[in-house]
Amino acid sequence: MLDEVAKLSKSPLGNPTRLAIALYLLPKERTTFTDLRKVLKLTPGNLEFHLRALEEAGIIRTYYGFGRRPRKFIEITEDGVRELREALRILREVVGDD
Amino acid sequence: MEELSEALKAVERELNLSKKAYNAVLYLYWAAAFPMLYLLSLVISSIAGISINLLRVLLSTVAILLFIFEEAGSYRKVRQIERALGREGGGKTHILLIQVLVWPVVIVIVRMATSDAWLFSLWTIGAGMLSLALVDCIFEGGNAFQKALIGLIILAFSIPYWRGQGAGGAYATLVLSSGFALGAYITLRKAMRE
Repeated sequence: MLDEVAKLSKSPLGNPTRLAIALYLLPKERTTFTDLRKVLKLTPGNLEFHLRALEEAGIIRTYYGFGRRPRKFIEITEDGVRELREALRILREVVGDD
Repeated sequence: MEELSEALKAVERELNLSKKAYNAVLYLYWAAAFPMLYLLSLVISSIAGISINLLRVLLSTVAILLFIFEEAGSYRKVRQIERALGREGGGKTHILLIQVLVWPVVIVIVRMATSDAWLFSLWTIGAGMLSLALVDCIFEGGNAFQKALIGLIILAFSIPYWRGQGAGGAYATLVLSSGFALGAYITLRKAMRE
């Protein structure tokens, strides 16, 4: 089990903030940068940093959409869902719910 | 450790609720679409002088296309949630195919039974929902209560129309909309209670 925990800690979702971002995005079709920042109570710089890391790992996809003004949208990718499933499986195993 | 366990359970509850909300939204779509179709065809017809029947066909086609788009999105999201929760059923393509094939069969049978446009809508949708419930029951082992209820309500309330008891298109629209609204209400209420 320790191997699995070590694997999780090294994965992009090993960081609690990034795991929270992925969990928040999973049931949503997409969300905005502002919404995510308010929900997770993060500074724009901090959120940007985590989003960049998640995007580089292929967990999320960001793009600009147009409304009254250009807005940054964020959505989880299929790879992100796979990573999240793995992270949840390891966490369930750790607490003995599996 | 206990806190983590509780947090994981809370995450699972939230994700299950979202999954059911995605299912309920499809019922809500039709609950809103039927009155909108009826009213729009009346309004456009009176303003532009286009035949009301032609408008109904055109608007219904648009509504069905939008629904397919909406359903594809919901289906994708529900599958993602199931996959993340490790509850991937797998091999659901054949069920989806049967669910799609149910409609032409029902349409052909109902078309033989009636030529009235509104009665055709009521019977097709009522019988279609009952058939979908049956498919779910056979292939997914139950949990088809909402679909069966929608079908039964629509078919039961089609009786006054069928017997010509002063019920018109507005009545048929109300029946269709109420059936789907009730289905959405029950789905969400059940999800919130679980």
